[in-house]
Amino acid sequence: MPDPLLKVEGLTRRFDVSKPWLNRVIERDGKQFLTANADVSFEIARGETFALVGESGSGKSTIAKMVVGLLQPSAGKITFDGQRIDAGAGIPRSLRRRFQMIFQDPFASLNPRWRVGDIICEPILTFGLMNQAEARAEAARLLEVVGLSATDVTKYPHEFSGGQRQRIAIARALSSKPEFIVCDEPTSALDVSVQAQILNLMRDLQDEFGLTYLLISHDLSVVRHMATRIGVLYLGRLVEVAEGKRLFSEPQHPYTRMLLDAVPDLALSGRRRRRVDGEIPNPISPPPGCAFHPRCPLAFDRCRVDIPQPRTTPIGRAACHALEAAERA
Amino acid sequence: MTDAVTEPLLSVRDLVVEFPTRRGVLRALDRVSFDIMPGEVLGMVGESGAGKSITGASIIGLIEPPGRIAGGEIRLKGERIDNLRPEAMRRVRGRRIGMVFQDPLTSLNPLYTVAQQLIETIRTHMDVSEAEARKRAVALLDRVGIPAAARRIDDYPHHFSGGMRQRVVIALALCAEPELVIADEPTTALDVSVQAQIIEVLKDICAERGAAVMLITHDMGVIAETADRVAVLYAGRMAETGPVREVITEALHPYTAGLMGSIPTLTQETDRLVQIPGSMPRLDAIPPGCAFNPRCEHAFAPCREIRPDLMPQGGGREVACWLYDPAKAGELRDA
Amino acid sequence: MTPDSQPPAAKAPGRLYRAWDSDLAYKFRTSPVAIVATIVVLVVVVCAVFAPLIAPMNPYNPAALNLMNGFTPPMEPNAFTGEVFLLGTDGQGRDMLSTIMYGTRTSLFVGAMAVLFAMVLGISIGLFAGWQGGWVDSALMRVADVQLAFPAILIALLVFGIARGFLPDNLRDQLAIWVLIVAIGLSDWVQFARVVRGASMVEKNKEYVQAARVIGAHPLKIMFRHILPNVMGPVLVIATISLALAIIAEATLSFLGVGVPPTQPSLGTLIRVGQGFLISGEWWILLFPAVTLLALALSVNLLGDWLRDALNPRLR
Repeated sequence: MPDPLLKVEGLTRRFDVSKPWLNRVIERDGKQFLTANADVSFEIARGETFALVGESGSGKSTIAKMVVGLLQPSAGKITFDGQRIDAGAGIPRSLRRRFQMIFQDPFASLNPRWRVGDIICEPILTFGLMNQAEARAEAARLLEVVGLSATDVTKYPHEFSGGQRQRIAIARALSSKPEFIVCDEPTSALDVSVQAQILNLMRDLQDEFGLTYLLISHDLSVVRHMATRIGVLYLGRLVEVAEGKRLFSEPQHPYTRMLLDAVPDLALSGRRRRRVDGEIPNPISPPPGCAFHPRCPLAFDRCRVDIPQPRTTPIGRAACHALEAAERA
Repeated sequence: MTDAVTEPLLSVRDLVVEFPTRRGVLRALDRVSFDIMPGEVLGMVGESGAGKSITGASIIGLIEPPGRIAGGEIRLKGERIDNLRPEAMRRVRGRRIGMVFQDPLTSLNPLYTVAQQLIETIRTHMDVSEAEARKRAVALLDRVGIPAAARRIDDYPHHFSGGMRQRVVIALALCAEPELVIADEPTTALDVSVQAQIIEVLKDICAERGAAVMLITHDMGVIAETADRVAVLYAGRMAETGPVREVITEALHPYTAGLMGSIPTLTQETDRLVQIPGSMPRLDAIPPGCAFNPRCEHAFAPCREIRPDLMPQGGGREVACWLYDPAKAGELRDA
Repeated sequence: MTPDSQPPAAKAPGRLYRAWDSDLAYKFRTSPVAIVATIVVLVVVVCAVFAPLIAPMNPYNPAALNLMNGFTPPMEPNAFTGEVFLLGTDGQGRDMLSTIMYGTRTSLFVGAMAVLFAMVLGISIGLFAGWQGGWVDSALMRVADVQLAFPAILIALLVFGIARGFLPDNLRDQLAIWVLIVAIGLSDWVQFARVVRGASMVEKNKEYVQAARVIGAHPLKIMFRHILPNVMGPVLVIATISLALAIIAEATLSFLGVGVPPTQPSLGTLIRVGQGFLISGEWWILLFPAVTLLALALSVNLLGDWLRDALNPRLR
């Protein structure tokens, strides 16, 4: 992809989950590491919505945090508009200004002791974009943009419902006029009808301001509605990347197919489904080789030994030995 | 399909649940009525605050004081259960009505093995020996899909993964062979791939034992795949009931229609999701007349003044909306 | 964009009404203990703060003293001058009511300042430890643990003794009060630090803190402007109870003779002095200061207890 806005290469993150030193000495245990992400690579073009989809243990939230600088990667590179942002020295302010984040929990993402106006002004003032008076006016204007009222600037977050708080969070994300917004499960905590309002709002804002989104979600139908390209994560690895709608009509990776089969869907109820087996393994001690092999209908001996590398498919990329074998046959 | 002459297993009529607060009394449920036939799966659907969990809690008698049932009747096979003394209700709970809660981590006591919890429940409600109870418990665990049940029954809850724990909870709900199982958001805390497994287990095992299921959830997809009939709640009132397929494809109530339109699916081709303006009113600010009227694009004069009750529409469908009986609405207004 | 707010109700209630109507104010209005305790504290505090204005006399002005008034029992006319004193007089003719007012003034001043010092020190250390985590947090908390092993009075005595050793003679008396404040404060900061550390560790992981980190806000700003307001609840409860303890600590030290200088007696000093007269029958010189101390400490304590229960979401 020429000139992507965000480029992530070989991103890996390990957490040290060892017991405290004294316990280890007494119990003669080694150190334990949890690999939340291993070797994740993808690119996001300007103006598109790239979604990362996965279940628990897939590491999708960890990737989101690494992209915005909340966590340091253990290995790999993150490049934003051509500049590295994963270096330990921190992200320069000029770059920080250009991205923002929306969080999952609308009740915890706004400081309960701050007024809504101050919450929205904070990025503007921190980046020194306007003075106090201008910032306040801008906050009032942004509230109208997201569908609330300008008089809400003096209220506190607890006076609003979950959907309204998420709108406030969106207003805060917009206040520093970023180009790129990371959305970590923005509607998971909301009711379905409120979710529709928020998703529509996000689409409208994207059209109006030319935003690029990295959307993290576990909900396949939301992802289908919002994303131009989708990455599927399983136990910390990217197993498939593909164009939005085609992922759903022609899924390549067996895990993607299993996931699509498992989603209870309004329109497709009564369809024939393959029986879904097993559960997500413990990320501290993943199965050897391809992490999906214990549950995979297509698994053969190579899958138990080698970790598959991404290869091109008709709709994108997928990491699967069975696909490779079928291709060659 | 059920026989039209069959008596309903559970019959709720005009149920009212109130919570006294220092600012006045809040009505969490305002004259809710529905039936569950033996062996059927009824989906109870609604958004947060609509009252679906409270409905389940009031049937099984677990409303937290100062909340209380302030009116209406709940009948299990014709006998009233809403006005039982705590001792009598305890016998009903578990033996005749089982419950599956949302969070498997907190529904199981972490300090007791699965065996102890299952055996205790079985022996509380049925007169069997310890050995017999254990045999039944192992068979049940095996039936819900726990591998190596005979060995794993002596494990503690934290030794099981989330999906496995929920299977244990289902086993616990069914071990005394109840006639009705109330499942309150049984899959919300689980991963998507596990959700499908749990729903399947719940459905199969209940069908096998002839137990009816009241499935409470906000996830319409789960209802679409699992339920026979669905009841839609809004602001503590019943908006619509009917067979699942029909309600989803041709909703009668404007709220249900809006709800169905706002859910993204895996096949639709629209660019914008249907959006219902505004939000569900808080319990202390429910508008007069139909609770949905401020957000309804079809609202006309009677909607703002008189509350519509559930009106039968044939084919087992009922809807609480003046659009389907404007004549009566007009009469009531003039009266 | 479709508006999401509810249609405006009749004129929104003003801030004062909302404060009056809030859950906390309601609990206060309906709790006899809280109301009585507050009244007692208010009365004592007002008397103490405005002592120079409302006391019948200034007991530390030697010119105003009349030795003939000495040892007058409460409410009885003096044998020589015929003056009546509400609470009697002490050995040198000082009106007890006035001495108590002035004494409470000193006690409150020392107590409040000590708590303030402990709060500032404890909150800062707690915030920093909670934010940093890792070995910094461990080290700071171990220091706190070690200090907890020593009784507070012992630490205060230690600090006091060291300070007096260092200070030149002429400054000793003047600075005695400040040394006392630092001593009591140093013995008290640990509980603030622990509570704040625990609470800030919880808050640190919340998404509003992450949002501030994403925009690159300075850690100090995050600690004091974001996290601190959210951990103040339990801090206030501890502060009220600490105030009671600080007053008693000061009284104890003064009673032992190492507290406030004789030129600025506090309730503790008065009790020490009064103790000597108990046997000889002038009971009022001991009783009234002691009762005042009791009432003050008890009311502040009860208020703190009530506040803790009122703010506890689990008890609601």
